[in-house]
Amino acid sequence: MKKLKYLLIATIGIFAITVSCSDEFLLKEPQGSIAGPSLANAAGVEGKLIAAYRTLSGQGMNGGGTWYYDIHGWIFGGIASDNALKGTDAGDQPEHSFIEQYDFTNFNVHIQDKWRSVYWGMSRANDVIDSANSEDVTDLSASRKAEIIAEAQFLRGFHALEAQKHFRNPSYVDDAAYDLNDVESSKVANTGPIWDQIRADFTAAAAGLPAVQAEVGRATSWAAKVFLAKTHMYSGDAALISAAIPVMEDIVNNGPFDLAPAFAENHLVATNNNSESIFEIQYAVSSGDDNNGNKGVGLAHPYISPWGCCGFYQAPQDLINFFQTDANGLPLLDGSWQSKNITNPTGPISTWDNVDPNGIGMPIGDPQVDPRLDHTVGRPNILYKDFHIMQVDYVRDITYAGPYWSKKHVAEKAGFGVGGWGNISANNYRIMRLGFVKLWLAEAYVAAGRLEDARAQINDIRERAGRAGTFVTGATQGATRGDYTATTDDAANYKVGLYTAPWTSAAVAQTAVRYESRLETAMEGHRFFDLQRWGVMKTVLDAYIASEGRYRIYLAGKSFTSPKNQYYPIPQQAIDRSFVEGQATLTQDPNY
Amino acid sequence: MKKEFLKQFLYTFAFLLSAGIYAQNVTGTVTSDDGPLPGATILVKGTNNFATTDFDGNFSVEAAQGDMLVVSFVGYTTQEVAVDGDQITITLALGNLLQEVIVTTGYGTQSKREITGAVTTVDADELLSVPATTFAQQLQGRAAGVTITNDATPGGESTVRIRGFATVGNNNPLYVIDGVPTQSQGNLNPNDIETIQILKDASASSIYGARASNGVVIITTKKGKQGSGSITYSTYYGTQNTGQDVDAMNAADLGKYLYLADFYAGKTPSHGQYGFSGTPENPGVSIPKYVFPSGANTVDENLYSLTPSNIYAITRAADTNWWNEVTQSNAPILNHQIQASGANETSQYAFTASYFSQDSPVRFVGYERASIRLNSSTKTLGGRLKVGENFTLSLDNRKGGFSNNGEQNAVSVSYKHHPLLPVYDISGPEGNQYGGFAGSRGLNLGNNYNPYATLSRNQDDRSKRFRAFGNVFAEAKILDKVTAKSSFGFDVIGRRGMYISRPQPEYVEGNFVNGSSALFQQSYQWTFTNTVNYKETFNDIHKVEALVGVEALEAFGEVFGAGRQRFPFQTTEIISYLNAGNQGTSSNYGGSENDYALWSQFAKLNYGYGDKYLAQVVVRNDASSRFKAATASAVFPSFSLGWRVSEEDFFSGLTFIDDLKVRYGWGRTGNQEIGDYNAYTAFQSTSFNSSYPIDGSDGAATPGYNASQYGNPNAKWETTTSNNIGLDALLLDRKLSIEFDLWNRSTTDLLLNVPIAYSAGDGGAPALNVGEMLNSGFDLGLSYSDQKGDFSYSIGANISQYRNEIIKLDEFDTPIFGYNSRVPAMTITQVGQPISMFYGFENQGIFQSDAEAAAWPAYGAYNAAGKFKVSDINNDGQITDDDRTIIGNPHPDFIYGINLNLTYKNLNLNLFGNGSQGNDIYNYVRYFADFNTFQGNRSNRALNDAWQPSNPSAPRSSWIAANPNATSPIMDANDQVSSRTSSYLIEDGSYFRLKNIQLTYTFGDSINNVLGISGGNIYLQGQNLVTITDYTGLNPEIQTGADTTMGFDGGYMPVSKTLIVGLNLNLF
Repeated sequence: MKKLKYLLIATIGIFAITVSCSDEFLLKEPQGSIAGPSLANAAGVEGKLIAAYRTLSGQGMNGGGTWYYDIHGWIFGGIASDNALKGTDAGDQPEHSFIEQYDFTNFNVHIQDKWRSVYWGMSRANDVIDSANSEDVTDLSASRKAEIIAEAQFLRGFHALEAQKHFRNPSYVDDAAYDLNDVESSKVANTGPIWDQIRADFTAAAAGLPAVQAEVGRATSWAAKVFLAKTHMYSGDAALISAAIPVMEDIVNNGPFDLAPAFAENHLVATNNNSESIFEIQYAVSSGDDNNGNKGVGLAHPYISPWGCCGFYQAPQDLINFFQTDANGLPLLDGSWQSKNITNPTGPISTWDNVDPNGIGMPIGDPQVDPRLDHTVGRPNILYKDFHIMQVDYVRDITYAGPYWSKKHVAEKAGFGVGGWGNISANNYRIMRLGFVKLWLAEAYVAAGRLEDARAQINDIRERAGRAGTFVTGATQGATRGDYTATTDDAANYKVGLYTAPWTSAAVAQTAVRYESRLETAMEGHRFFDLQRWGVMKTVLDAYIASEGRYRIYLAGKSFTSPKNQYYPIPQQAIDRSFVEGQATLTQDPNY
Repeated sequence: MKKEFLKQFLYTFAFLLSAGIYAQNVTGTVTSDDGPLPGATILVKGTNNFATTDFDGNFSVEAAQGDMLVVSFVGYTTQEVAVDGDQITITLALGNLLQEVIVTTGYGTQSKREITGAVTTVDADELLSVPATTFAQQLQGRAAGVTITNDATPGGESTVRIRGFATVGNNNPLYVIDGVPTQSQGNLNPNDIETIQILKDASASSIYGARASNGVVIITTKKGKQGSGSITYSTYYGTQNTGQDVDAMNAADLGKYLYLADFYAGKTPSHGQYGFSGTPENPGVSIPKYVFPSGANTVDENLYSLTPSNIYAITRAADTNWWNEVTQSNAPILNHQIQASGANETSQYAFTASYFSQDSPVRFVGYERASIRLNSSTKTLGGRLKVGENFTLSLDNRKGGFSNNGEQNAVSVSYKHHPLLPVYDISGPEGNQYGGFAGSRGLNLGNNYNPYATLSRNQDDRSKRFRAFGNVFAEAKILDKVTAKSSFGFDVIGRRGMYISRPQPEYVEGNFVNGSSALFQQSYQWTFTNTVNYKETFNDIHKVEALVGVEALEAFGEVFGAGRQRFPFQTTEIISYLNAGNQGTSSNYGGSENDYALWSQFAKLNYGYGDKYLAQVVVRNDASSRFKAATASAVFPSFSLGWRVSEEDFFSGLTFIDDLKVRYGWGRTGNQEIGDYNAYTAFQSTSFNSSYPIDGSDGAATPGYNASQYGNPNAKWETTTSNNIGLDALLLDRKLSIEFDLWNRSTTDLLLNVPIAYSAGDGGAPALNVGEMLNSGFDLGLSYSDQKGDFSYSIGANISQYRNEIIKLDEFDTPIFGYNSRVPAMTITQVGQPISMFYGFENQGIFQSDAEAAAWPAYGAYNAAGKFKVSDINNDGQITDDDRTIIGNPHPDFIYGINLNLTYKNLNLNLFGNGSQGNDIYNYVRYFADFNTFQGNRSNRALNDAWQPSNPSAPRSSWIAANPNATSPIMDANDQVSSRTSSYLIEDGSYFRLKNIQLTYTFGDSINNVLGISGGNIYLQGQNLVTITDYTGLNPEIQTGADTTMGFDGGYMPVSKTLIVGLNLNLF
């Protein structure tokens, strides 16, 4: 009997041991995340498409720096150009300084993240196409499937264009190559410019997308057409630029777009998705979640309450000077603006002066400027959006980067301070608006010798810029820093006029159009790439360095190396990670 | 009545009489060849009566004639003597030290004499000489082959590395506490530990198979000892002070620096606060009365305001030494512990309760812990079945906010916060609802937080944990030679984090927003182990012991966190909980953190031919949920051999060698630390990664799905194969003992999260089996002890060395870069080199003139008089990022520990020190302190050690060096290049630290009698009183946690100098 009892205990023991160790015991599937098969349906594909749109903003990439690859282009399109300074103080974000001073290296992590982000965006677009085409997805209507694929093609083209703008020889990964379940699949060689692939994507997207989308953030056929036109314009190919004219005429004449009534409405939260918008990077911010706000420009806010951080992205003297106008309210097309400095910015505006360092001064007092200047930059003594009368307390170190501030991306008071970090707002980035199309159309007309057609487009832009009641108004300081009373006067001596005389010289017309581009789009992240496609980088930027270097000592002695600095180097890490069978599939830009 | 009384009297008389006959006090003396033996134990067999000899070896114990006395003393052979007469003299013979030591190895115990693997034992006496929050801190310097790097933050845990690095991932060893495995040092009370054994080579550790590659630390807690029950009380109290000051400038020197930096940059010197009226030779620095408003000398102080609409926080200029402000003197450290224990032949118990608390010398940071432990067991069924448990429950609490390596922690900011700023603005400490702190608002004051304000505002932050750990077990003698044991172990941990953020409106980038976040983590692990053991000796010479077992383990942990902002009140009671916060600001997250299971079978066979030839074979099969079925299970074998040479006849002539054993072991172990779900591709839906406001909403984004992790279903275990040759010897009449091991370890199929192509997306890279790594080294431990009359002494030392080399990484040997900070990754892990080497530019001094600079390979526009002369490593005539090279090695040449113990009568003096030799440190704090980086303060080096011309007003081209031996570059407000990672920032991190010096007085009978106690001592102790190092940072002990970024000093809590007085009392 006793032995039986022990046998029983032993049996129970062995049973307990073996039962606990079945295969099921060793099966541990991911908790709190979503398995692939759950997304093999229409809702899953739509969700992946949203995540592909997510990549547009240049944030949300794991391991990416919050502002390194921001879509606003304030680093690669801005501080690398003559439109912006790094700002803040000397030591903060030295990687920005290397870009500002044309000392790019293939180790620069900001360049690395920019590269990453475009391929990150392409990978998600490719997976959307693969998923929509998957046989496992059975509940997706044929029409919606076609639209989804067209939206993904638009997104892929968008990123491919970003890649082409930044890198001389990018690679292009398509959905046929890409396989989410094979991390090796996307290693595609870079064999040269990818303009053809970009055009193919936007052409297909234009054909497959509806003209109107119920959700304003989605790409429409109009958006695809405009990006196709932009691709033509940026390619620098005369035939393509000519071919872009009918596309742009269609948009300008037949598209549902109008210039916004006031220039400033392109840069306010309250007027997101306005009549001028063709495609915007959408931002949203709530008190509990600022992940979808414009985090990428978080650092690019004034160094004073209510922002307090971080003083990046200041405006150079050169840009201020550029906005000077002649008696007719026209820009100084002869280039004389560069040597006529608007100085004494710390005194009252009435004492500001145009001074030619060579001694040929203009009359003292409130130099005349294009009114878009004070929508583009913050100048001391002038109302900054609806926050304060700006003073040099906006800048972190005036001796380092001067007294001027960027402005367009900063939300107005009503749109500010909603999220945890107040700087982040829902101020959309108008990456594509009608104003740009009219500028490009004018450019293409000039190239085609249609100078008067070009003048009409430019005058449309200037007419809007000069509309009464759209200028920054004056203000008188109240008792405390944030306290002011707006007046009905203009904040400064504004004058903008139309080109009334017919354009007869193609060269002058080209200059006028290019000047207008800078006046209209300054500090919107496009300038570096405009100079790049116009082929004038070395001339313009060396002149800028010489001019600005008089104030910004750190720029003195720097120079732009052409053709090397026209594009950014392919990050070494991208090359290191591209090996297939012992060979890197990516090769460096030969200029680096 | 009378009759009753008489009866009672007689009974009492008879009782007393019989007591006089049967239980008398037996007195005696215990001696050895060297004289009387104090501290020997005399136990009356079969009773709980025992006594301890006094200083003269005398004892007195209650025993009857004929009783057996068991007389024992560590290091001597135990004797049993029958009571015969009132006065007994017992002479103990010196025992075999190796023989005495019983070592706990995997799933059993073994006599040290028979051990054939590489095992180091550290006992409680050594451990307890260093008061500590974790056992790992106490282990530092005690065991050859074990590298321990402490975190000096109260409650901080240590990094433990055994014999180098087996992998580029997780190198933490496995801890086995009373048979229960865990990866966490946790909040266990180190005073509960009896011994620690470290299984260093695979032949010793392979019985733990898949988790043993990084070595195994086996911890045995205190059990009740034979004898009558005892109750002991121990306490200590001490004060802690920081040693070194940070080397930051005062306000006037900083003004001079700023003038010169502007001047040498070609700018007209100007500053938002300082006034300059002089020349480079004499800058004429003036300091304003106020820094906010910037540079003012007169201010209407009545205009003071600190509200969102009007920030006018008037602040007077000061000359603050921030390190003095953030530290306090004589921060207390305190411990109380009471222990009751006892045992008889059938059962034992040990119960302890303890409380420990420590404040940091850095203000507002502290730690406390309360714990209880119960170990007991009892035999039943006629001694055939033993059941028992080991159980500990502890609660601990880390208080305040200090994180090592933080750019804004109190150490880092003390270097760089502006000295013109005071602690408080003109409103004073209670002046406003935000604490009255002065901030960096004001021109050119930098963007550092007021470090005092930060510490003060974080003082109510808490990380509270509870941990229940232990096992229940049953051990049955199922046959005469066969024992079966079953143990169910558990490890349950819960953590509540409470982090309060308070408004910092005075801060230049500050705001008025408050917030609170709450964190809850919980995890459990259970381990069910069943073993059968067979032990037999055949023909008195063939000793055989065999063990087979099975084990199942499951671990799961999860996390939940939430936060809110904008509380209407911010008293700690209110803001500690989320309810009162603004609901619209709610955020939360949750997920699993730990989720795996293991199922294992193992067997061990030991054979000994006498004591002369020893052999052991171990094999374990592990199946893990972390690998898919095809690769889930693997076999880890090992064997080891030992030969006690001294038992051989031919050895008998060598009288100076008392015992000599040589050992060899080979084995394979594994590593499965690749996260729980490596095999699976997974998607997520988060607002950061996958949402987009597609409908144009300003306030809410539409969620989507993105791939968060790419899976690798084919991963299998990393395998580490190790060889170990060892030698154990006792020499010179057993006074000298030597333990020496020579070893190597080779890891293959190294699991590496191979960086994936950027075009694949941003999901996590799966671990692939690609790499290979080699480690080799030696461990040497020596001890010598002797006694001369009343004086005895012992000296112990250990030294160890490892060499690490990466043999292979991924298919293309892509280097792995370490942590990125303000500078790109400064460590590189690449083939042919040890893990985590420092990587950057190599400087060859400083250019003495522009002419010299012009002749050097161009470095953009950098080269100039006073700048670093950067080596052109690739000889291409220019300095580019391609010229970065290995500039330092964080691995020591060797580490060592030295212990000296002197005893004279009742006095004992102990000295213990440890050190590390030949390792480099990347002093990242100097990136901020020595160069033109952020605005704020600089180190004295930046001014006093900087290259300067003797003729600064002359043209640059004709500058003549004023100090050709300068070590820092010329001050230059435009310089963004000198601060790039270079050999300038690499320092020798070698150090020797006198960790412990302790003087103990053991009470004699007279004191014991007065106090009514059975024994005790009192001691005075100094910790970390001396640290010898050339390192300029606050603490050469750098714990980074990540093995691909070692030796990176981004601001670490310095080690405290501690003075302690302690008392131990044996109450009963």
